[in-house]
Amino acid sequence: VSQRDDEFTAYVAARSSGLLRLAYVLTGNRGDAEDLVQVALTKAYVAWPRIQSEYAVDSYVRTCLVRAHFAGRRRRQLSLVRLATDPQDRGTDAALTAVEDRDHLWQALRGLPPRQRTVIVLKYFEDLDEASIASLMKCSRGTVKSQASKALKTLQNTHPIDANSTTDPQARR
Amino acid sequence: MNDDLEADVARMLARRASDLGPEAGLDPNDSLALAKEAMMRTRAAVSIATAAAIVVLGAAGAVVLANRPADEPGVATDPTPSAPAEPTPSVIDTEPVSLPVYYLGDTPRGPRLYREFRSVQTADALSAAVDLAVSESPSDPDYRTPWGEGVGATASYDGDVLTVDLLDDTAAGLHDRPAGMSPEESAMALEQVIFTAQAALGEGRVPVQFLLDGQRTDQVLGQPTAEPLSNGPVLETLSLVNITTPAEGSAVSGSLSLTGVANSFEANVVVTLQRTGSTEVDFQEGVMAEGWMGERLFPFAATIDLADLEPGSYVLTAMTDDPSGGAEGFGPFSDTKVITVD
Repeated sequence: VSQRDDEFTAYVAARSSGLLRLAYVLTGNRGDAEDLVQVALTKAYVAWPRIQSEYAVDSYVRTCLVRAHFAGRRRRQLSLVRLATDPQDRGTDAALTAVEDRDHLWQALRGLPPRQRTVIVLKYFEDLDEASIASLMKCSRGTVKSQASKALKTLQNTHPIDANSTTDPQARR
Repeated sequence: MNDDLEADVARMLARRASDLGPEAGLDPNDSLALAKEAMMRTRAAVSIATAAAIVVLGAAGAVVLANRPADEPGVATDPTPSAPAEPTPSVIDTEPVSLPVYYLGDTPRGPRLYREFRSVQTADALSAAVDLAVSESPSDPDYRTPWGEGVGATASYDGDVLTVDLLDDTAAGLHDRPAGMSPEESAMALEQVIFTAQAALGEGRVPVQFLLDGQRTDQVLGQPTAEPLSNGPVLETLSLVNITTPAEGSAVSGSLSLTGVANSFEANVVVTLQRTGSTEVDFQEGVMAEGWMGERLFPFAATIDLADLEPGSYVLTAMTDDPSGGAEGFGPFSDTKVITVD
């Protein structure tokens, strides 16, 4: 086993859970999320000798993951790396779906165009600033700002009725 | 006024992410095996897809080309998007799309770009086209791809700039120009990707930013790439004649429908047909392209009657006109296709 393989598996053990969560809120689907993470990890594995620090790996993988999501969404490679997930794991998706159906804000997010959804996830889930999002998505800060505001407007218009919401949805009318 | 909404969104995302449960993650060894396997299998699968694509190219290519002559995204210099722009990047998985892909070929003026149409099943035509350009051998054996083994590519478009991300799994790396590659060849390698991406996108002459493994890079194959690149001048980058149909290896009977693009003296394109291995020309005709005064290639089309030809393998040649007979200038450009007459 090479040093690259050792470092790679250690990285996957440490970070795949976080990456999977990011991919899940981006794609809204666990199977796609696993594919997306694996695509990003595969690219990282290929580029491993050139990625020096662990911080750089994180940023590299996140960039691959986000770009693969909003640019390709279903690249040819995806069909090649479909993970053999335990059927029992898939079973929990049904339970998730029942919860998801009641979460209007989540549904609205899933309905956003990929780039808008990506901006929202990077801003409110990854807590990235506009400059970082802009460089990650290869667009200007102005575009990040306008995409975010467009997305928020759409989300607002869906009247988020949310058990944990601190606001009265009717007040938004 | 958005503060509450923003807080709701952040909470919702955190909650959904935690739905996956604390044990969620990928098995490190599975992931490693898949990463290694994906590198191998991507290459193998692309080869199979291409073999299948060549079979359907006749049918798929012809349909696409039927509404194409006025709309040549590979050669038009007018950036106005023409409707319907094709191929669109949003084709469903099961529909094969015909993608314009440029390759290098030798001409009297050094390496130039020739265009082929390749049929593939993909939902991301843009990425597929650039990936074909760097990772696949062209159908026409006179063409070549200058990128070595172990190169892949994806591409995206943000409305202003096309971004081509080169996946570098080569032994020597793609940063520097390889020892055996001329500066001319490496410059043309980048033009190949630029023209392919622009044609697949169909939005005109959009600048192209190269990335190497997802990162900005000061150079690719020794060519500067820090900034987005515009394409080279069409008449100094493309072959001045390029047959679109028939494709290499096509079988035809009855009559042959020839289409292509050219920029030739007085719009005259010389078309010949001769048996493979024979020096005797069975057919020769001048075909008028739609123009020749301008910084672009112009479509040409002709129908050639094959009734008098014996069945067998033939070489179809389209040449630019060289009124000086080679005494001045560099001699004619040409493109050839080997076809079978049934």
